Parts: sequence; structure tokens; C-alpha cells
Amino acid sequence: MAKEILTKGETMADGGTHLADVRMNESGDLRMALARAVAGRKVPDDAIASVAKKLAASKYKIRAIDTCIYGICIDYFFDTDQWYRALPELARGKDARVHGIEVFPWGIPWPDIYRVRVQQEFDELAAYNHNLAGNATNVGALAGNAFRG
Amino acid sequence: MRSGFLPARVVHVHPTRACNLACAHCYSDSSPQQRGALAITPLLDALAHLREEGYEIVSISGGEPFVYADLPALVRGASLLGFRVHLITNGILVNEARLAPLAPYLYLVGVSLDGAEATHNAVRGRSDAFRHSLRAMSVLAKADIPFGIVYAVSSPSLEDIPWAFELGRDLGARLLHLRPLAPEGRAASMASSWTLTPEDCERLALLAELLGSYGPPAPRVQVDLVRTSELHAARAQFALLDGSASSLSDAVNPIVIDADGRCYPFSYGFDPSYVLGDITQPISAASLRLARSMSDALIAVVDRAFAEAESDGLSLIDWFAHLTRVSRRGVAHDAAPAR
Repeated sequence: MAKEILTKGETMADGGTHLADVRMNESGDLRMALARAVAGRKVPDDAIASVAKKLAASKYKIRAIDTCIYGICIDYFFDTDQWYRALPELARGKDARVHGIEVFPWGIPWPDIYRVRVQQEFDELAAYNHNLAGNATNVGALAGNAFRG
Repeated sequence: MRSGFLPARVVHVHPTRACNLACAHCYSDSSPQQRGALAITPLLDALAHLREEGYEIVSISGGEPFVYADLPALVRGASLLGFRVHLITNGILVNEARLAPLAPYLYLVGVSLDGAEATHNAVRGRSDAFRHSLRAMSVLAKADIPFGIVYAVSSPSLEDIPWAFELGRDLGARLLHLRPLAPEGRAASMASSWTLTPEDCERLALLAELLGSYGPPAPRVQVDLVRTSELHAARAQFALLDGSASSLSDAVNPIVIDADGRCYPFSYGFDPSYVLGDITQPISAASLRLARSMSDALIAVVDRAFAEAESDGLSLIDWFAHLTRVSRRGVAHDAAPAR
């Protein structure tokens, strides 16, 4: 059987019909790099606490957090008749600089839900994010080469 | 309608405390030395009653479910009653032969993981425990049975979460359930260096949000922490508090049946004075039905838990651990108004 037992750091890249494709795009690499940094305590406690406090202060329920070139993208979901009412407050970004807002319908299964993605720069993570971005590009390039054989 | 914090209405069944491991963090003090198990007939009778009360999921743990002799009858019986059946296992006894009679009735199997290999084996007290967990996941994937990773988050295992997420994704796990280590049962005697600090909890929440933004086929990420800023809105989902509950599951979610047959509200380890009924007694169905008219004391516990959570200054809490601690303080009994 293909590598049945995995240890930390290994991936099951040698196939199997039930296995997920391990390839990630660069955005995924960046997100995973930030996740590893957060989990590995490479981002200091005070930075985490500060970001968490800002996120907790949000009036709207956060559905997902991702990385973007400015820092962090925060996704909110709203009903059709609610998203535009929230926009002024989201655009104000009192705790972090807002670099962009995207609004798009969630899709066929939930046509009444809109996803609002706010791109924000958090000072606490700015330096760290730039490092990650550099590393992730390298990681992505290496992964791409590996899978192209 | 949602009842409490959970998206579905759940019965946690602990049919035995017998286990093939004696994990350092076990909240139920299960071990190979424990004996006794619930008889299957009264258990299925109680589940039939609870199904009528609106519960939708039966989640079987223990002890280790696979050492419970009547596991096939329990899984099949619960499924035929209309429950979605979840099972949480340490994976050691999982193989094709044991899974075969269960497979048609299982909705999700959770395999316990406590970190990367060294941490997992140290917590489990067995040098091959980690390999068994991974083998179990491979067997489940091969059998096409949906499975997830139930991950105990301790201070040492926090940093391994991204690795566990990738492992789950590579093996085809549907879920990564992140459960902060609660100092209950045997875990209460673990060194404080295992416990998550408030800052660790913030990391965990941010981590869950980052990893949760991957879509399928990556596993869904669920973390047992709630932002206190969201508590106020969640309060409206507790029909117990405003007297609008029309079934037991409206008022109490989840409900827990322990290995002695006692039914607890909300959480394993909840103060015994709030026990709702005993399925080993002939009057169990009637007593559970009576529990629909909840005692003022239980309402006071939930009320108090909300008040304390909103005022204690923490931005995140493990709601069920918090609720359990409040129940044990006994203050709610004193605070309950006379009927």
C-alpha cells in the first residue's frame, strides 16, 4: 500500500483514489504559512491579542479569514438586503487600513447570500506578512516544479 | 430551529467507561480497569424517547466504543430510530471486520488525535497509539466511511494543528474538530504547561478561521470556542431561558447519557444535582418527559453562565466547559427563585 503511515512533515503525494490533491495555489501556501507562524508562536502574543481584539470588535459575524497582498482578507456573509447597509462601516476600518472591498453573490445554492470581502492591513502583522509573502512565492514555485516532475 | 450553540440536537452516549487506553487527559477517567456497560435494551428505549423529543444525532464515545459489546446493536438501532450516528474512537480496534456491520449506519467517525506522534503517544501512554490513529483513518477512507479528526488542543499540540489539517486533507477527512483541553477528570492532574493560556486560545481561534477558509476537499474546521462578543446574539437560541421550549431538545442541547445511565444536561461532568433522569430505572421515560418543564435552578445556571462570560473580560470561552464549572459552584441552586 502507498505510504500508509505519515509522520509530521510528510505528505501523501503518491496517489490513491481517495486522497485529496495536495497541491495548493500560492494563496493557499501563504495562508498555510501564516497558520504555521500563528500556531508555532512565531507571531508574538501581543500581536495576536491586538488582532483578536480588533476582530472581536467587529459588529458583523466573521465567516472566514484569509491572507491577501495587503495583509488579511475578512469575509462576511450578508442577506441580500443587508450587505449595502454594512458597507459604510466596513469601509471605515477604524482599526486597520482598508485597501479594498469586494462584494459578490455567494452562488446558486444560496442566491440570497452575499459575500463581502474586506482587504485590510493590520500593523501587527504587516512585517510578518511581507516575510511570508516572499517565502510563500518560493514555496509555491518549488511545489509547482515538483509536481510538473 | 437552532437550540443553543450547536447546529443540530445531539445525544452524547457513553455506554461504557472501559477503554483499551488510559489517556492522561481523559475527562471521564476511562481505562482498562473500568468495568460495566449500559444494557442495550433500556438504552435504545431511552433513545427512542429522545428521538421523539427532537434529538437528531447520537454521538457515541466512552470509554472506547469498540470495546462495548453491543456497539453494532446500538449503532444500527440508533440509525433505525432516525438518528445520524457519530462515533469517536482512538482507532486501535478499527479494522475492516469490525467496521463492516456498522458501515451502513454510520454518519461520521471521529478519530482522536492529540498532536504529532511524540505528543500523541505521550498523552495516550502507548508508543504505537499514533500509528493506530493513522491506520484507522486509512481504513475508514478505504471503506468510504466519512471521518474526521477530533483533536485535543493542548499547549504542546497547538503548533501541530496546521500539520494535522494537512494530514486530514491528504487522507480525505471531512472534519478537523479542535477541542481545547479541559482540566476535567484525569486531565485535572496534568501539569499546567499543558493548559491553553488565553493567548493560546486567541491563536487557536485565529488559526481555525485561517484554516477554515479552505474549501472542500480540505476538512471543515470546527473549534469549541465562542467569542464573547457573539454571546448576546446566541442567547436568543436558548429556548430554556425564555420559556418557549416545546420539547426537551429545545431546552437542553446536548444531552449526555453516562455509563451509569444518568442523563445530564449540556455536558459530561455537569453537577449531578441537575441530572434529568436515569435510563436504568423503569420511570426513565416519564422522568425525562417531566424534565421538559425545566427546573428554575437549571435556568439559573445558564443565566449565570451568560452573565459571567460577558463580564469576565475574556474574548473567547469554551462555553460547555464554562457552563459545567458554573453548575458545580452550586450558586444557581441558591439563586433559583421559588416556584
